[in-house]
Order: sequence, then structure tokens, then C-alpha cells
Amino acid sequence: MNANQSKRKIAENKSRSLLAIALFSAIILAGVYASWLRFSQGLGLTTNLSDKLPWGLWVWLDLGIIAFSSCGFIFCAAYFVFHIESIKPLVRPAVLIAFIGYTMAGLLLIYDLGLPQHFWHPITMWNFHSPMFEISWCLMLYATVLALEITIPVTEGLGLFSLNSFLHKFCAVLASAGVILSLLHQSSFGTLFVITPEKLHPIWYSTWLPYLFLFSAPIGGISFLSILLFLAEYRAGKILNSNLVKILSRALSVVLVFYLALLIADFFKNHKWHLLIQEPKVAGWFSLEILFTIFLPLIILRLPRLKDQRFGLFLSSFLAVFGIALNRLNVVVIGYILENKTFYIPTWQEWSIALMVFIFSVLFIQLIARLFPIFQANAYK
Amino acid sequence: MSLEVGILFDSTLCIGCKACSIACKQSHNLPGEPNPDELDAETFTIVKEKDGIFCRNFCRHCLEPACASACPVGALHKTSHGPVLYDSAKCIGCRYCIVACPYNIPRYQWSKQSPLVRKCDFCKELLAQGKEPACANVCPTGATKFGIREDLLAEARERLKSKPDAYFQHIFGEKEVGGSSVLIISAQHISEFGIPVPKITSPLPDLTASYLNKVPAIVAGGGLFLAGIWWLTRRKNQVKKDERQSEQKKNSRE
Repeated sequence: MNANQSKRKIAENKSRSLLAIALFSAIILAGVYASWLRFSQGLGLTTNLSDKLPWGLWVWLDLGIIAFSSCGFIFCAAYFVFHIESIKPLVRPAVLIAFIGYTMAGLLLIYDLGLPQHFWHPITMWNFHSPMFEISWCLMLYATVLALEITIPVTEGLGLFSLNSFLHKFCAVLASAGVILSLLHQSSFGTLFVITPEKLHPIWYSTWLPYLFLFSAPIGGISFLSILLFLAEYRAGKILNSNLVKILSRALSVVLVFYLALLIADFFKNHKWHLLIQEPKVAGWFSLEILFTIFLPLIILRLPRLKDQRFGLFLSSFLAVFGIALNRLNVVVIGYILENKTFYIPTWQEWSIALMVFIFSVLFIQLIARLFPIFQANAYK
Repeated sequence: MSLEVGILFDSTLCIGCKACSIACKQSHNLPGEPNPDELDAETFTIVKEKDGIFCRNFCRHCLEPACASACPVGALHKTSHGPVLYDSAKCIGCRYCIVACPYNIPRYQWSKQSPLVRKCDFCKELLAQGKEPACANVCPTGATKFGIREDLLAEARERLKSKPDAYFQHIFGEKEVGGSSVLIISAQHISEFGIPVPKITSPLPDLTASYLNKVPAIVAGGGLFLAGIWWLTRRKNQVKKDERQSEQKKNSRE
């Protein structure tokens, strides 16, 4: 009976993984076909971008991914610079998310650039007045930092111990560089829109956008890391012990309260309160965003029954991830559409390339996590 | 005195003949019908009509252009003599200039496989030969007038003053987003033609400059702060460890 059961389970798993493989292959095939169309025919025929809405789905995903990847610099700094030793099991997963996140953001950027063959131009052609120039440099430098940081578990897994211990000496320096570069470019993604005071809807426009982006990014980073760890527990066993759940919950609460305070201050400073009642459509998108980003997670994290509990952290993280994604969507697309009276629905090519990049992320994270010591909580003792 | 060139467009003199649109297409070898409803990648200037009155829409060549400050690789720049020019060899195609422009002027060659940004170049070749731009040269009524910006500004003020009833008392481009090389005067507010008129009078690049100026301070200050934290927290942990060890030793001795 036991043998029968396990046989049935194996068969079930087999059919399930076959289904997954079929689905993934279909998405990747569609993505590859869409990529071929994109690069052979140009942006106009394959996307619904236009002079009225020059940035769309891919730029939104870039901004979202970068916010979620902020976990990399946060947890590296907490461990290597602030010496908070109890969070050690979180460091490598955070670095992995950030590494894959920045790689995929870079990949999407190549699709989005009109002249992708010129992507390297910011290296030699400088314009210090452009936040986009600053972002390009920070992305290149921070991607290098992350590549070095992910090399540590990779060399450990491969048994290259001399290189591993050599890299270990630079952990604090790499983490510090990560913090500085992240402070710069996480805020600069907000600075991008500071130059459009009359083209982004005033409910999202603010001269404080750099601070709003900088303070909302950790919400995305912490909650995205939590979600990934819950998922990783399926394979790696229990990672999030009660202490880590407590740390992550408290950290999320703290960054949520900071962001809420900044948002309220911004509303007072720029006299935005009336915008909440003027246009119902705008108010709707905005309320949905702050409900998911701030209020629901904060309430859940404070509920006595869910406080510092696994389910509370999972639920609030899930909502916050959704909320941060919605916030970036509002700033890049919705706020622009509503202010400039235009319209945009991505084409199937835009969607399938985005989906392909998502599948790549899932596969790469799985691959690296299986080959190298990333999630094994016990390996750190 | 500044010798920056400019264009003064007087909507009250415009008869809507669209000679400027045609001349622009010819001098730049641009395909397509002249004067479509909106600017496009092959149309750098258009004449808009509302109730039999006309107004042109084309690049204002801002004195402190948002597009040039936005461009990460400096493909757009303000020349010392006035025009805002585009260097296609530098462009990476990020389209931030299109997002940044307060007048919605730059157009992208969306249909091309290697697209470029397109907009009025103030007829830079003609200018280099000491000639005036095609649109000003061809205008039969003098509605589009080429000259030194300061002279044109003085003339625009004079026209508003001499015929106060004929003009909406505002020189569009004098102050908007810090002013532009192109000045427009009209019988009505030109937003009635569907032309964007920024309300802000300070240059847009100033808004971002205040943040980008902080970069060196963040790098230096952040580095020092993090080094300090690193040293302090490591020391704290070390002291804790030492204390624990000495306590253990004491306990084991007892």
C-alpha cells in the first residue's frame, strides 16, 4: 500500500512537472518569436507605445523589479555592515533575488531601447544633468557588485575555497558600495519623473518623488524576499524560524510607517488632499495603491492574532508586493495616461516577452538555488 | 548682448497658407503630405487652425531645454547660438526626451527598425550658411520672423502695446519653463489651438539638478557613515563575545 502510494505520488509529480515543462516551453517559444519580431520590425509594429505614451509595460516592469531587488542591498548591509548576525539565512536569498532582478531588468531594457546596440553609450558619453545617466552608471556598477556577491555561494558550492575566502574579505566593502549605489539609483528612478511636473498626474507628481521611490523600494524588497522564502521552504525545508518572521515583520512595519509618514507629509506640502475627491478615477487608482501598499499590510502586521506570525507576514508581504507594483504602474503609465488623455494596452508581443523574462527569472532562481548553497538554513551554523 | 537667434511667430499675421510646412518638408527632404493634424517623425512643423485663425506648432528651442538635460548620453544639446540640436550617433533610444519635453514636440520613428528622435533643427545647415530658416524665409506675410531673440522679444512687446485689442497680452515663450528661442503672440491663448502651454516659469532642468547635485555628498557621506557603523557594530559584537568568554572562564574556574 505504501509502495503504491509513493508510486502514485511519483506519477502525479511526473505529470505535474510535464505540464509545467509544456507551459514554460510554450511561453518561452512565444517569447522568442515575439523577440524576433521586436528586433526585426522595430518597436512601432510590435508594441502599442507611441509619442503620446513612450514608456509602457517594460519600463513599468523595470521599475517594479528594481524596487523588489532592493532586498539585496538591505540585507547585505544589515549583515556585513551592521553585523546583525541573526539575519544570516536571509542574506544569500536576498542577493540571489537582486542578482536575477537586475539581470532581468537589464534584459528588458535591451528590448525597450530603440537602439539596443548603443546600450553602452553612457559609459563614454556623459551627461551629468540626466538622472537616466546616473541610473545607467549605478545599474552597471551595482550589477557588478551583485555578480561578485553571488560568486561567494557559487565558489563555495564549486569548492573553490581560496577564491571564496578571498571574496569574503570584501563583503563589507561590496555591501557598502551596494548601499550607496542603491540610495542613488533607487531614488533616481523617482527623479526621472521630477522633470515632468505637468505631464504626470499631480496626485503622483511630487518634487519628493526621489524620496518616495527610495522609501517605498524597501517595502517591495522586504515583502518580495519574504514571499520567495515561503516558496523556497517547499523544497529547502523550514527557513523562516519564528525569530526571522519577527524580524521581517517588524522591518516591514517600520518601512511601511516611514513611507506612510512621508506620503502624508507630501500631501500636506503639495496640497494634494483635494485631488482625492476631484477625480474619482484618479482617486480610485491611488486609493487601491495605498490600500495594498500601506494600509492592509500595516493592519495585518498589527493584528494581535497575526502579529509576528508566519501567515501574517505572508499575507502582508503578498499585498505589499502587489501594492508596490501598482504604485510603479501608476507613476509610469496610469498617471501619464490620465493627465495626457491617452490610452495604452500592451500588445501580445509586449506581454509574451515580459512573461518569458518572468519564466527566465523563475528558472534561473531555481537553478542557482539547487546548484549552490543559497537557501540551506542549516549550512550556516 | 546675447546673439542667440530666435523666431517670432505672430498668429494675427498668419493666413494659413501652410507655405512654412511645405518649405520645411522640402528643405529637410521629408516624405509625406505637408501639414497633417499632428507633428510626426517626418513633420517638424504644422499650422493649426481654429475658427479661421492659425497658429504654428514646432520645437521652441527652449533656453534651458528639458530634453537636453534628460538625455543620458547628451545626444540633445543647446547650442550657444540658440538651436537645440540632436546627434543621432549618440542616441540610445530611451525616449526620455519625449517624456521630458513640456511641449510634446520630439517624435520617434516608431515604424523603423533603428528609430531616431525627430524634431525641428532650426535649419542648422541654412543657418551655417548665414541664411534664415526655410519657414521664416518662405512666409509671405512675415508671421514667422527670424532674428536675434532679444530684438524679437522687444518687437513682440511693441506689437502687444501698439495694438492692445488685437492681441492676447502674453508672449508665449518669453517665460514658460525659463523661456525659449521661439516666441509666439496671438489674438487668444494658444492652448485653444490644442498647443500645450507650460504653467511653470522656472527651467525644468533645475528641478532635477537639485537632486543630482547631492550625488557626491551621498557617496562621500554614505561611505563614511557606513564605515563608522561597520567599525562600531563589529566592536560591539567583539566586546560581547569577549565578555561571554571571560564569564565562561570564570564559571569554569569556580
